[in-house]
Amino acid sequence: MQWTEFGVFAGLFLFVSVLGFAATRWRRAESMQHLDEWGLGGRKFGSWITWFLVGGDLYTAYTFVAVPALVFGAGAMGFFALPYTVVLYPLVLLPLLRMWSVSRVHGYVTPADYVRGRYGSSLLATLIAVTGIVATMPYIALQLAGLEAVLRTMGLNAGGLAGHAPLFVAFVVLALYTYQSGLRAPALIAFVKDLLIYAVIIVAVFYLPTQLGGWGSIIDESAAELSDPDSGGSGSILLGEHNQLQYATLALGSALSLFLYPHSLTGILASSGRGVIRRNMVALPAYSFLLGMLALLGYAALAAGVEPIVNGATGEPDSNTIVPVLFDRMFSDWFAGLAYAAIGIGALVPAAIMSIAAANLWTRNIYKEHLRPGATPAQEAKQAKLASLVVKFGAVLSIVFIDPQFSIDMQLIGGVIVLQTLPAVAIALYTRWLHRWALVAGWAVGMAWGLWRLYLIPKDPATGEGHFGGSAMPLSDFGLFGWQPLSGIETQIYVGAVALLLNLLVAVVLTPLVRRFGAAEGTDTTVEADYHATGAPDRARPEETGEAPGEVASR
Amino acid sequence: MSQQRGSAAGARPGTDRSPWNLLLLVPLLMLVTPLWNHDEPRLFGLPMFYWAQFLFVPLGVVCVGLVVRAANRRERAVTEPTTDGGEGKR
Repeated sequence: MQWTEFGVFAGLFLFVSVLGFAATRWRRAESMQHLDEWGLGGRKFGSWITWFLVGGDLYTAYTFVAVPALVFGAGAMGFFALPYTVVLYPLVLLPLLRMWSVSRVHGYVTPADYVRGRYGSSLLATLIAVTGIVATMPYIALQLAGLEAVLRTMGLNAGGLAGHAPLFVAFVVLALYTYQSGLRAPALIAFVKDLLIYAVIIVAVFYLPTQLGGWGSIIDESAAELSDPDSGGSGSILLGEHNQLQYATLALGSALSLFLYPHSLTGILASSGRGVIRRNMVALPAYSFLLGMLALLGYAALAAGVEPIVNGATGEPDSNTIVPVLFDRMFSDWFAGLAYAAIGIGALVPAAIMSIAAANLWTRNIYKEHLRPGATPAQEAKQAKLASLVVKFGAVLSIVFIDPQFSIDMQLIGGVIVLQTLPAVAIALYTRWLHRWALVAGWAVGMAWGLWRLYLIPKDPATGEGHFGGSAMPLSDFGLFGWQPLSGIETQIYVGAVALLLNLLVAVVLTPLVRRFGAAEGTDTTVEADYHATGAPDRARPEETGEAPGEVASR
Repeated sequence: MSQQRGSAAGARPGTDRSPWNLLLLVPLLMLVTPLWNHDEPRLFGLPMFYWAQFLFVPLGVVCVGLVVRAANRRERAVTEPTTDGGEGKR
């Protein structure tokens, strides 16, 4: 047991817990009994808060431990996280502005709310909501996996249920202050998290190379280690012949899917204006730089000869522990404790936002839509708070009772399935040409094909056994009803990208057909001017009446 | 029905449209892997694969920054300064 490390960690954890409870008084609203207050912090976060909040939301603890772990295991391929977060902002800038404006005019809280308003289709909105919830749950579980990697490195590495007790305690505290303070809690805690992370990473990136002989020798040693056939090495410090397309499509697909996750959108919708979003799209890449540097720590761990800790609960080596172990070995105890606190708190912020986003989806698009259509705002807020508890305990249970490795598979699946909502959510921001029934069909085809392909990827490439072993498929495997146009080509591609293409193809082909058969279009309650609005209309919150809100918005 | 709305909206061009937006395509060059998938030249010991991708971070910031600056100007030109979506004091 590492007492100094644990002491620093526990002290900082206690500090942010107090912050979390106090957050409810921060920028106090007249009443927390409204989903806009609990679930979107009153929709009035400025540039700085949004930067910390969205940064805390996108660059999670899991990223901090898993990206270096990926580089540690596979080399260059793990670096895809950098292009992913660089192409992200130019891609999403304009669509997010439109989403913010239309959501502000109509009071939308979730992406499914928007789809409901745009297509007048309860079915499509429900599909989007369910996809969002299903994709978010394993993401929360992964934050727990990151937190647990830190706890186990500090010595809290017992087997069985007792081994999960520290995690459970941390999550009860998190659940309680999220319940009370809503989105204000993670927004406030994100400040602490980021200061810690920046301090730790900057020190690590400059100090570690001096101890390990400089980046040149770290990279060379890693290259030798990765290609060492004795350790089954198949990695490389550069991309090979067959995985360059996989690298590019994985980065692009991940970038396209990120803001389709409900929790990312929550941070955007909570901001106070279009200017705030614009400034953040310029400032957020500061985190990307950090992420790239973190990825390089995977090589530092390789060069330092770090061995991952064996997880006391599963008996398997847990590669997520390599960065914590590296810190433990290279830094003094108190600084390692600080680093662990940074990673641990880095897990709490996104976990809180994700559970809030999932709760918003449940409340707005399932509870209010199907179970209790006449719910008052106060009832909505109450329901969302309860749902956030359920979501978090579900995530804890999934860590306790399911092999953590499985949650990583789930996360992989999550990225592919959330990408299938792109036509109905993102493309809809620009055109309503796609028919709602064609969108439903495209969603179903993309989803089914993507899941089936992921299932076929073997966990162990050598023996071809197991399922859900990755997200890369060789082009030669692509076939339609036995027709294999690309057989013999070993170039790999990201499954999600192909699934999305199929989804779009189906939607585009079916749209004219469905229209010819005269299927109803559904009512679009948005007008073009809504997408440029700089604020909510002056009159009281417009419920979905569709009475020319554009006229007010274009003032 | 949606068609009618579309033409009505077309008469009032959106404030998001601008030739500056084309700059947003530049960072996508990062997806062309043969551009930087090399070991040499090295910088601070890092192979080109790594430092070149790091360089794309500031490139992306500059491109998005220029688009944002142009958009903020346009938006200020249409709306009164007081209704600007920002925090008011800057």
